[in-house]
Amino acid sequence: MLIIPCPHCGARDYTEFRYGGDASRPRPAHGTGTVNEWHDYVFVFDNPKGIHREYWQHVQGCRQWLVVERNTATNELSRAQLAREATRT
Amino acid sequence: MSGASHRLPTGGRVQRGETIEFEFEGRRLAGLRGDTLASALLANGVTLVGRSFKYHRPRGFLAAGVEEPNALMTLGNGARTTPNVQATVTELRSGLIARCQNAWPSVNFDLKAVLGGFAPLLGAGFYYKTFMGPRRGSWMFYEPFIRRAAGLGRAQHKSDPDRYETRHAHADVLVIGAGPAGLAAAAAAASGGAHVVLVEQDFVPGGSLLGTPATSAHEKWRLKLVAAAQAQPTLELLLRTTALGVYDGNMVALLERHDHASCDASRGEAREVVVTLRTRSIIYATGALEQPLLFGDNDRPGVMLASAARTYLNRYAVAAGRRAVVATNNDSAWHTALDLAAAGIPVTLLDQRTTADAALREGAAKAGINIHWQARPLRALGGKAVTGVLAALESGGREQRFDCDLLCMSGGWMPAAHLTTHTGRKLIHSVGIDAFMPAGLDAGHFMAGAVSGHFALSAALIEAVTAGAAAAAWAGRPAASLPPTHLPVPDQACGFEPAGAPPLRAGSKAFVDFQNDVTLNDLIAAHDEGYESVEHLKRYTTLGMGTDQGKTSNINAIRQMNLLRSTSAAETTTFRPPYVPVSVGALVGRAIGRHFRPIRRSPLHDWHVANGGVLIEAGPWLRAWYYRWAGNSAAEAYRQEMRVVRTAVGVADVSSLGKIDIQGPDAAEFLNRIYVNGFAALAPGKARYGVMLNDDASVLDDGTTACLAPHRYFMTTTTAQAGEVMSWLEFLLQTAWTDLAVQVVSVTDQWVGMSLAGPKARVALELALPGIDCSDASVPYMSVRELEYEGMPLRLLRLSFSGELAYELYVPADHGVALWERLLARAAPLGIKPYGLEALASLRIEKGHVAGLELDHRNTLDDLGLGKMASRDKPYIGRELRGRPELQAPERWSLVGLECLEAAQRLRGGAILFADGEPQVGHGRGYITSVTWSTELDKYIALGLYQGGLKHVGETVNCAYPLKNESVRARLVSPLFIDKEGARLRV
Amino acid sequence: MFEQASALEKALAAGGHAGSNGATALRLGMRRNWHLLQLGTYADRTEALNAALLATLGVALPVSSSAVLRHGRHQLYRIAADQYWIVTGDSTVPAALAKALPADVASLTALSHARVRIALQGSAAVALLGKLVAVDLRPQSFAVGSFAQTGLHHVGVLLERLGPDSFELYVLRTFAASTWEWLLDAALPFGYEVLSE
Repeated sequence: MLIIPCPHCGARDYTEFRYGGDASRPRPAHGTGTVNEWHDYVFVFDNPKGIHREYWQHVQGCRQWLVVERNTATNELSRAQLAREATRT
Repeated sequence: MSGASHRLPTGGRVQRGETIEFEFEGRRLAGLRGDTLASALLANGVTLVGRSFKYHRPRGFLAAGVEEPNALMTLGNGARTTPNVQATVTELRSGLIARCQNAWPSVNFDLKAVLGGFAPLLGAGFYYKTFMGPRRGSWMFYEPFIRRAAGLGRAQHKSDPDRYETRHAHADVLVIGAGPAGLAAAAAAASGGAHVVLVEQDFVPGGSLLGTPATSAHEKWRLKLVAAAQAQPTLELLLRTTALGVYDGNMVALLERHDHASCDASRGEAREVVVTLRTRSIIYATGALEQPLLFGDNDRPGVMLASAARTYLNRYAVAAGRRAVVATNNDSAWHTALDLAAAGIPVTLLDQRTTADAALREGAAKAGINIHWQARPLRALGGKAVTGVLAALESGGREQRFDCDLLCMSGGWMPAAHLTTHTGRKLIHSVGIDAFMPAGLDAGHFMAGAVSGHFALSAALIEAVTAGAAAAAWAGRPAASLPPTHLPVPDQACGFEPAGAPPLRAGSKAFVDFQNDVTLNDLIAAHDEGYESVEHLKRYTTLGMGTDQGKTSNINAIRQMNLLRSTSAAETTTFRPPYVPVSVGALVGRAIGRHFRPIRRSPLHDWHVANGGVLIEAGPWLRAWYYRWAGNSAAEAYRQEMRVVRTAVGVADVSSLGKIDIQGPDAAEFLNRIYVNGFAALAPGKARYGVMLNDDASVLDDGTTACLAPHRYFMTTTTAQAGEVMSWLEFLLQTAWTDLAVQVVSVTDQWVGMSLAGPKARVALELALPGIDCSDASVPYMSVRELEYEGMPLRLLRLSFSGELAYELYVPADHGVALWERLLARAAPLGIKPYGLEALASLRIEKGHVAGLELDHRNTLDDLGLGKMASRDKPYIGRELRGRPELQAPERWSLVGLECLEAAQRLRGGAILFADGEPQVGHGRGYITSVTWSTELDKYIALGLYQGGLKHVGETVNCAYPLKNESVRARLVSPLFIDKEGARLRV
Repeated sequence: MFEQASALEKALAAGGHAGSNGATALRLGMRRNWHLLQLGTYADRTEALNAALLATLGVALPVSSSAVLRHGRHQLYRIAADQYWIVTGDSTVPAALAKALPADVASLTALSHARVRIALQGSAAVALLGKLVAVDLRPQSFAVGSFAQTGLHHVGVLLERLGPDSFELYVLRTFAASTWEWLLDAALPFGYEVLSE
């Protein structure tokens, strides 16, 4: 099964996590953004065959949100970092 | 032949001193320890063991192992009856009960064999072609008869009394298969301290070496290999353990079988355990499977794979016949011929080639074996047992009949590479063996032995040691010492020639898939009809779709398809887990009945159960639904409970509500962003009802947040959305708003919650907790007090869900029962009673409060009549998309109240609403969301959504409930059914 | 006085059970008389926080996310980058910390009632846990003094190893009775005694 390397807890089965959707586009800052910008953020995103940047939350572990890079065709994970650190880079 | 013993006086790897009694088809028979059910039956002269799936042809053992397609039996009786168990892998144990399948009245005399006469009507794809008339739909008439006549075993419907378990395990290196390659690889891998798990589906290790004579050098080597593996301190050898599937992340599912140990479920002994093993590296040493030859009536009892006959002889000391013919296109079957001859059985060998390995030819000559070159079987003779074979000699120049009661066939070997493809890897065709082998493996996966397509033992040993070292290095625990790779025993000869298109005798069937009764004619017909791709072939003919997953049929089918299409390009169909059939029970383990999923209980749970509370599931929670003091059914009780709350005082357990502790210098700002209404200025001691939206402006949840102190808040959510809201808050703080200094902690479990409601609620509080000033001035509506009462922390919130004067009391969970009992005891003179979820949910309907049934993540703030709550002064989540034109459209379905106009009828949740007079067709103009009998108004009332909403107050609608063929008239009204001004709340 | 009743009172009273071979290879029980606080930190306030902790408890925050920090009667766990658990037998600690930590330095949340602390000991402890959690329990991966947050029958728990055959589990109170039943069922073949404290 898919194994996710949580930076805090180590490698764990994906069943300890909940999937959180696309993480490849930034959220408009609170209180800003037109209705079109918010529409695109909420409803319009790619579904790539290949590397996908996505959110997972370690709900049965440390409850941290992670940004993970997963190849949607092979299920190989190439990167997993704390979301708060991913935002900084 | 039946009745006579076929057990040889010496040899074999069975314990002659230990007799085991068992029952077969009602007869008491005996075998030896070390036997399988199959070898014990053969020893007793039983060769007819089943009837085939479609044609009910008599069948015997084709193989001696996991690839067996014919000898499927029903074991056990009563609730332990298990159908479709392969006799060839069933370890013989005392008291075993076995019956044949798919035959009536017996396997010897099967009336359904008459179906064989209908064979022309039952060819591949027959359900599209035959039985189609005389009328359209005729197939549906014939289908039940055909379905009852065909098939394998029958399941029974009693509860399984046995225990099954699942467990987790970890390893550095997993080696699958304890044949010579697996044993050598495992020992090599473990030599540097790597934790190696070696799994073997058989109950004895040794794999192919178990088919060699028990007195041979190969047997001595087998024992040495086993000893060398067991000498490694970090190596675990798991026998009777099958690898079912390989999954992402190097996870492998294993099935451990314990039936041999007579498990007692009441002592917690499980008969089967599924292990999810996580390993750093994997070595596949799964060997190869011999394939049949295609010729007429090759399915007769007594026709079997050459290696199977050899295994029955050398492992179990059972002669499968008294006079043998061995037909082959390769060297390996010669060992069978030699060993049969050494046991005194006359052997004739038909080899389709012109020559074979020199040492084998020499041995055969010495043994007096009759050899015919360029010879092929045409047709097996006999009905319920083989009596001989008609062969083509001199490449078809002439024909000759040979008498025999054992016909061994070998069409070459196919690597058992199924597991290597589970993660998506492909197999590649190897011309040298005319079969498929792994094209490549995942990183960290290695292979050794026959599975790689190299059948010589010398190659196997070198590959094994190499793979062992590589796997250990991959796992970070390099091998310390490697065993020698020089083969200490005579090697296997591997000469082979593809069988090609078989010459057939008309009027006879050449079986390709024995289990599903698919013949060569079916393949030819499929090809003629255009089903050329192997995927179409499989599904059209059902070849390879039986419980054996085509282990002895896939490769022959592909070979023949290639010949028909005159191509060499080919690919196999996809192999999927499980490699062998597995009980559903083993996959589920202990998670059945009360353990199916975890149950969440309020701190007051035991009190409810002991005091007439009837519980209901609400998600994972068990909640008090109603109490027996109020009535004997929910429908009766909730009305009584509502009355008590409206006229006196009631107390309900609301511990399942989500509770979140929110702290930090930016906590107020945080709340202000997520709620649609303002929270920035909520003062300590105040509580406010809030609604939060999703980004798309649908309503996520509602609840009350109280300010306990500057920077400290206590948020409640609905029971159903507690987890969602918690994750949402964490998401915002950890991704978008990392600059906010806020901490959120779930405290749902820390606090028990009670809703004390009714006109006498304040008096009840004063009686139960004297000394607290709970006057309206001290604890006004929508306020919170954080207290310590008799050493116990207490949070007192004044808010109301029911519309009456009400409080919510929160105390740390372990104190819950004590406080609850004190309230009920001290306020008893007021008539206080506990009330449950049904009444709780109904009271709020009279008050027009939306709850779970209205908050379905499709409705917006405005749909629910809460638009005025949204602040105009500050941004909030969902604000931008709330403004979308389609969400503001006046004809959207929005919240209304409904009053039932027909005294003898009731309103139902989910009823579809139509305007008075319009036809009741289609989606209607809305639907009812929540319904209750109103004790105040003495009629059924409801909340619902209606097109145009409150504009239509006063109009009559029809509430259609097609499932019960009902249509009831109702009037649209304001959802605020009682106390519109909220006077009762502010008392 | 409002008496306290734990989530497992009824369950513990049911007693032990002999295993498949007649013996018991496990001791299971519930720990009492301990306090749990969750501490949340804010960016740039760690120095002030550590100073306050040293002064109150005599120990600063742990750095490791897998090793328990023990100091006297206190145990500290780093459960997330900015969140910590303090488990202590000293009942004065919650009030002392509330006083020592201003609201802008750290958040403090009482969780003593929110968890049940289960002790799990004996020669079959590792085998039992293998049926319950997917964590690698081999000594090289989960040494004495380690802790892990993981799922047990679909619910998050915190597992700590106190010795080669001695563990503790912190389980959500509302799931405790259900988890205890699941555990006892897994323990059936091994046999267990129920420890009383």
